Amino acid sequence: MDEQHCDSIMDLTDEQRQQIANLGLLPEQVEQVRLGREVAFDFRTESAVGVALLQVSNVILRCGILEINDPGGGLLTFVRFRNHAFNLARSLGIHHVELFGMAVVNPELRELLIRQSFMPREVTCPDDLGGGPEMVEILAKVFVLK
Amino acid sequence: MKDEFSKFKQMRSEGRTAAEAYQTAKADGELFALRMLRTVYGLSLPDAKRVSGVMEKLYAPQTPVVGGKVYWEGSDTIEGTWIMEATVDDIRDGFVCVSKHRKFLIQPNGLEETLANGAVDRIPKSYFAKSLLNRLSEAASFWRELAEA
Repeated sequence: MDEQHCDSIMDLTDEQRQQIANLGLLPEQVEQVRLGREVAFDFRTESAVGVALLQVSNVILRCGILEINDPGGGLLTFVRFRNHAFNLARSLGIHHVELFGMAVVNPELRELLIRQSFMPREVTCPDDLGGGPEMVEILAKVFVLK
Repeated sequence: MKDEFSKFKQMRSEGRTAAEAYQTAKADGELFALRMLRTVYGLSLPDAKRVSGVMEKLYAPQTPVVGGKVYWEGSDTIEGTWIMEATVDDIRDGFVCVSKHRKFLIQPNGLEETLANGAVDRIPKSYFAKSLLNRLSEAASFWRELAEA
């Protein structure tokens, strides 16, 4: 799947739109998600703030972190983020979730993700982050939800 | 169509650094600030993250947590001013016990990592109540007054 666009345009109920918006996306960003675009957004949960990316199709939900700040959260930060992504996928009826870290500059975090079988690959820099010809590394792993 | 970055292009033309522009931009959200760094200052995405990550550490008081990192400054007449990073192993009796030190010399063109020989492994927790930027400013003032004495 092209990281910038995918062919699927989703039908979203009002409740599903709200669940996407609960991650911090504005209404116009939710609409871009519905159209299959990869959307970067200011992410906020009960304990963390940061910048995340979301792309949804009928077959897979891609959700990644560019930056996250959760003082004292440690590994729980990523567990919570993963749970948010999984819950959103389930509410949308999607069974595959790709989680990824984008431009991971922390060497310890990078090593941790690779040990957890997150695979590196290069993607074009998202338009919402300035776009351009720059290729950016992501560390990604696909989960199948039961 | 109004250029959303016109103010920051002006800042750049005035010689303001990416870090200074970031501090202004983040009032409009972290995503906007990162996009500004890439668009106006031409930073790669990893470098833009480094700027925002460094500024976060510079301006905020630190809250030591076990497993997290803490930063402090130091200076001497041989290496100049440096920043030390270490991992928190334990917090007890008002002290933060640290290990896995990394030392960065502050150079004109950025930070240069060097050997962290002889670094302290136990620091008063109260030390981290001030932001690193405040501490660096106080250290700079101290050395300047010493030189002028």
